[in-house]
Amino acid sequence: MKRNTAALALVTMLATATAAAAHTGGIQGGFASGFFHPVLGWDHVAAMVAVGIWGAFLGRPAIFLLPILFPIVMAFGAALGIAGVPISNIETGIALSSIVLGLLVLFGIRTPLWVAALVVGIFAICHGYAHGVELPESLNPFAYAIGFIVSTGLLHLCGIGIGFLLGVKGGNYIVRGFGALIASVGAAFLVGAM
Amino acid sequence: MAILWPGALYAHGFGSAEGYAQTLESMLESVYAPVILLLLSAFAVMAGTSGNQRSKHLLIAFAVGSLAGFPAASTLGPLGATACLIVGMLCALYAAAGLDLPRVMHLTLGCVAGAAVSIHNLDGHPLASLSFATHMGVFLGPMLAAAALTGWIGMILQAAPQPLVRIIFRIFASWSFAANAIFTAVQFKSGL
Repeated sequence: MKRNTAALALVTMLATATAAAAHTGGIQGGFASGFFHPVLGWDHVAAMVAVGIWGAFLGRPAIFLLPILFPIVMAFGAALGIAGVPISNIETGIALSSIVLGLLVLFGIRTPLWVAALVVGIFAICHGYAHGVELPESLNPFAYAIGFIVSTGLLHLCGIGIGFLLGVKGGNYIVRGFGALIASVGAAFLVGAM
Repeated sequence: MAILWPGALYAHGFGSAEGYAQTLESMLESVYAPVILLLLSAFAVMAGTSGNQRSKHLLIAFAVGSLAGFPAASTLGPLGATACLIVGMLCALYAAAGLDLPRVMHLTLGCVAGAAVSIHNLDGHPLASLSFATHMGVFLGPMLAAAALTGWIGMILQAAPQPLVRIIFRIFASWSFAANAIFTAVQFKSGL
């Protein structure tokens, strides 16, 4: 029942997300805008959920190490963004994160833990950088940062929740279906279709 | 909510209260400073997840560091916030990684955490410029908060010793690290 609820919650989030809210500037600052920044952008939602699902696919210890690793490395990326270190094609990196992680889930690819950490770490820098660049320093950057950290973590937990479907009959197909969906979202972003 | 609550103007005011009220007011300094809350939460996770004996030693180290921070506040005052954030980052990273640091490093971290909190709380006030009651509050506020949070986490881990509970605290520590790191970047960007 709980697993179904988690899946339903995710589907609702995916259905109500809009692309326009993320990475468009003009963020008003504060916890709410920080919290909703990753939630209201398909690119972030897809990648964050994929991290959780892939972690669940890989099992222990990846299921909890990846959600621990991601915010730590994301903070490094955010610091680069805040410092104004120029990194080009960051949006491409974000789109690629959805594609790669989605495909890893779709094909159920199991890698050694260090490879998983490396892949997730690289993409965490892209997502963190995007958040860092848009951190509204003049308003309430502290609350904004806490907002996007918490929502990022919660999206990982949503992914792990979906990953628990692997334990039920036919759940493997549903989870892989999510992988295909996530990869499609990434591909759409990559070609600028959304 | 506690992190979102603080108002910059209220903190470090050491306003008009007298006597016991002065102690209470300065105790609340900790509640009104986001960077201290972040450090305290990271410290508490580190201490609470490190076992009973170690957490007691860490709290003692924190208390010693807090007292040591009083005379240092007048010279290191402007660096207080940055110190809190960097020490908070270290505590959070340690807790998130689940490392088993040597005891000396562990205690040093606790001591530095206490000192950083005092330095930030006193905000450059020289030792003699504030009353004893104020100093009492500056010492007791973070100390009680750290002890309460540490004890609370320790109790949760004793009541629910499943690995999943410990993992939840480690995930929280990674969030705390991220917040500390991003705040540090903002501090440096805005020139400390």
